[in-house]
Amino acid sequence: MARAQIEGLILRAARGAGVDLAHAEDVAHAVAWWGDADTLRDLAASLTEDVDRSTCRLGPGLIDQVQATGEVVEVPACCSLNVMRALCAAHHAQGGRAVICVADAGLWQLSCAEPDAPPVPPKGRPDVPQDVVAALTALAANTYVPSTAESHAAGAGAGTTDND
Amino acid sequence: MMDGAAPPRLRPLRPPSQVMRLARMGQMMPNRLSFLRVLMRNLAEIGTPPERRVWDIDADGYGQAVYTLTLGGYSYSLVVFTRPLADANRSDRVIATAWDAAFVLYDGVPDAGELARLAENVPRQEAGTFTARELVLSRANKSVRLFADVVASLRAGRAPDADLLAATGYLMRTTAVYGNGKFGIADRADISARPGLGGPFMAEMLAVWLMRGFTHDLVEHVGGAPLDRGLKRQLGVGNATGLGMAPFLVSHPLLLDAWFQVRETALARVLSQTSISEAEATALIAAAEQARLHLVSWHVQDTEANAVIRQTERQWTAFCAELTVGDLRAEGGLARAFDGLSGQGETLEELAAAWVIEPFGDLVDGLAECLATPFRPVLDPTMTCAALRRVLEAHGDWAITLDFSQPGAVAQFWYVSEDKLEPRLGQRATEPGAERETPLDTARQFAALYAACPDDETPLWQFLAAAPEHRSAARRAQTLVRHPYAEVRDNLLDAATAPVDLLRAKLSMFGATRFDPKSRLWTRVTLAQGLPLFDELDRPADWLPCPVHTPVHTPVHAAP
Repeated sequence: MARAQIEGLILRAARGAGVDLAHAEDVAHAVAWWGDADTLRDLAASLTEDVDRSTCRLGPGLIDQVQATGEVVEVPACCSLNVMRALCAAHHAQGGRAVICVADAGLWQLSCAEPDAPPVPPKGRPDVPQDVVAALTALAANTYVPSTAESHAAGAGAGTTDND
Repeated sequence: MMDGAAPPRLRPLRPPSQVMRLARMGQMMPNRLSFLRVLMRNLAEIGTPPERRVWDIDADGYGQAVYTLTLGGYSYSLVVFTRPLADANRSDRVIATAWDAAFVLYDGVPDAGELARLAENVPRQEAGTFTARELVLSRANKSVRLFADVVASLRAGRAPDADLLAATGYLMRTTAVYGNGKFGIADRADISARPGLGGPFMAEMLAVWLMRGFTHDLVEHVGGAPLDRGLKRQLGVGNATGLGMAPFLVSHPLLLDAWFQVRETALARVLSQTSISEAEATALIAAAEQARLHLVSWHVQDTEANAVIRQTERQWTAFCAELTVGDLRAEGGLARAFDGLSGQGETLEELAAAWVIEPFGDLVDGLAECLATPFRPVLDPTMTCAALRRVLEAHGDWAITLDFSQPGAVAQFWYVSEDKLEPRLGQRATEPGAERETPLDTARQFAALYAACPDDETPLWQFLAAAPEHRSAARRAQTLVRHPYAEVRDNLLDAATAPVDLLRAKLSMFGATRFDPKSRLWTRVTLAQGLPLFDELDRPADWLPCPVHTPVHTPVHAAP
């Protein structure tokens, strides 16, 4: 899959799982462009298992907090470190204050760091496991509206001939 | 905006409160910074003419063809597959599954194995399997009537019906042009650093221009005789565009800002000149006449849209009659001519905004480098809630003053149908599915944020931690401070909102002409009409296509 295609799928899947729009946008972009197969698997699992405790719901807000306060914030155990790393990389690449994950006595933390050279995104396409695609596709379907004869007939271009 | 050519005292840009309203965006016209025009300059500068490497097309026009050109040292190939299509299956809707022709812009030159793979997948379009070697995927249907007429004329050794040709403007009409990773094709990021393809939609525009040349070759092949070069130049590629194009403008705020910053900066640069040369004044008058002829030849079936065009034709004709080289060359004459049209309606003003920059390539063409942006909106969580409210009052007044408790303000909802993921517009009061609507409701989000956000020193991050549903609106509002053209400043849920206005804004950026709205939901347009042919890369592109022969009006796209 292309990375833009993955981003679109994650965005719809996260929205379909009930994640707020801005969080869904952040996670979709970060995971699609900075993640790998493991990140995608973590993301799909967190969206399907317990969305309230997913990194989608928690991660962007944690980065906001660290960025605004300069405090060191502990990353909840329910968060995926892979997804958090992707969020941090994407955040840094967009010129925000650097926010990094640091291992300290077995705990993971977010903290501000001195701005560094922007990270380089991975080359090529991630290998997206089919079960992950299936899980995300199923969640994305929650944003689609079932078609009816009426909506089909009211669509753009309906009722006109294209044999002109 | 930087290319080193800006005059020292720049006239203020037209404000977003004027420019970013749907009533005006829905009247936009293409200009020399439109993407097709940028592409043609890139091709002229660093490209080579297309070479037809494969032509395996039978006498009826069915088979495959490959065209290859180079741009900035890279080779690109348009691969085409055509096949018979029953009239009953010819549909421009996304839900169609078969087309007269299918296209792919391929990265490099496909060998026999790759051609076989493409033949297996490209005609299936969305249902096919694709790789990063495929840059653009597209399909098209014939304009059956014009194609048949031109073929019959060529076979009979006579000129085609110029009226019909001018009224239609294309032999084939694309129903989708997919890029940037769609269905597994290459990401834009894969090619955006390449010479000539860095601008927005450059690969898509390249594919369209190559498709247009293919349609010329196809009709000459089936007709068995060459088509007059002048007539051929007036044949572009049609395009049918529906709701799928509209969400892009909402989901890419920084890109929207870049496009309008560039256009408004170009306009300000041109109008900031205190005097212009005789050659420039003469070129302006020639361009004005070109626009007049274009308007004369532009007729659509929609009564209301046609009335607007006719009114503009009258206004523009009167304007042209008053234009003189002397007046334009007088100190401040150009700005005076432009400002004289102010207040006569968005249609005329937008035509003038496109016209006035036409002869000033040296002044504005460098701005095309600023049409793309690698950035995305970033939230500033350090702001206080009170400060965010001031931002909304200054930049979101068009939204926060609306009353969303009124049914008319939320009458419509945008959604994606399960039916081949076709984007649709529903009526909230009568149709199911509003709970799954696509979030194009920026105005409503701004109003909700303003209502919920306390007017105190609460840190924004803290407020958003408790109310994450407002984070998107907060980020978008903040973005407007530095990117004031980043939002369409209208309520897209309102009963009066016509999606076709969004389509015209984006299509004019592409360089589309002959807007032909078929309803408030979709439009037909023509792309690449009047642009150089394959062997004319050094020929300057026309701003607006004018028929070689100005037609007597005939109904366009008449239903049988």
